[in-house]
Amino acid sequence: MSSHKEEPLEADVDQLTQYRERCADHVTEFKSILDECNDRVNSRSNTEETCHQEMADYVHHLDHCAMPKAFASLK
Amino acid sequence: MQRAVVQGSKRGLAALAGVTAASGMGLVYALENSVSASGDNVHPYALPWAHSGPFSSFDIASVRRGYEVYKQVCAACHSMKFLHYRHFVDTIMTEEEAKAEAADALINDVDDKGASIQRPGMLTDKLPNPYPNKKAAAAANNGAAPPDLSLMALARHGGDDYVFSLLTGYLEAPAGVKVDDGKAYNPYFPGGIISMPQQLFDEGIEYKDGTPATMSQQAKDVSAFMHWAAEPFHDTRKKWALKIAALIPFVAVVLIYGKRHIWSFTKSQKFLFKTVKGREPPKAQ
Repeated sequence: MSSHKEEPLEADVDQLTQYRERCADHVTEFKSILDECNDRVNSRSNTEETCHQEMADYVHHLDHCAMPKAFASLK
Repeated sequence: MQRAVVQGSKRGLAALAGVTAASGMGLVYALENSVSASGDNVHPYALPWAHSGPFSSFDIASVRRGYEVYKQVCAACHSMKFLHYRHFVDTIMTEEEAKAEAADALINDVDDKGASIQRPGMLTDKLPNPYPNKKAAAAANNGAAPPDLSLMALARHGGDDYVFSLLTGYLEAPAGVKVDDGKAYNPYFPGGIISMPQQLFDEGIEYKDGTPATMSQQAKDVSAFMHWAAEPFHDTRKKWALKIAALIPFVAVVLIYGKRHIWSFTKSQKFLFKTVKGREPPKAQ
């Protein structure tokens, strides 16, 4: 949990991408739900199900961790 | 007795009106929230822009960098039909810089003999449109015409936050989402499938002021530029609002006491009715 707060960013690499990686442990629950859905849908050939909703939930919670930190690090 | 009854019903009516108004406001609030809750796209995170709030102005350095992003990335597909080069003068550029920018552009025009020509631009020209018309734009982009960006920051729910999130939101599509050629998955876009693939990349352009041009930095700057393009009067509006807000207390005092002074005679009048001889009311017979 503390890793995304303390370490300085790598220079000249996208700040938001870095923070999204650092915030991965912040959203493990939603990531596992998304992965479960991906596995379920990929294992069936004749389904109309999509994992868009799981992705939306995952991104929403990832943003709460990554967006404010990334935006503050921009010039 | 009758008066007491009337008084009671008036108070009841006032209470009823109050309750009706309150529940009406509650209904409007609930409906507004349900509208926001609809849709399957991610709602962009609210970001602390330099120009947010009643006392803040644009970060002009960011707007200048945003123009560089627009010119080198967005202008290949998107027009800015309400923006002229003269709007840059003494706002985000000097006059010389704006003239040089205009001279760089090729403007479609007609010469004295009526023949079509292309000439270097000048301050009074609009930023050029990359396509002659909307059908040509659609034909060049798999049927999806790129919209004009002049007022886009005001046109989209979420404004700057939406633009920033959209430009940085190109993630791998989840299972079950079918993405056609030339399109991309973006959870911030309504429906999830957008016809504009990712356009901003680390070091995709080089900023004149030396700022590292990461994807997020470009997205922030071009979002600020688009908001500035939609509201070039933004800083002036807030300045005037502050001046007027500062004056309102004094003007209010003057107006209130002026009104009370003017009405003091009328409101302090008292009427005294006196019977005069010869005009007594008739006696009961």
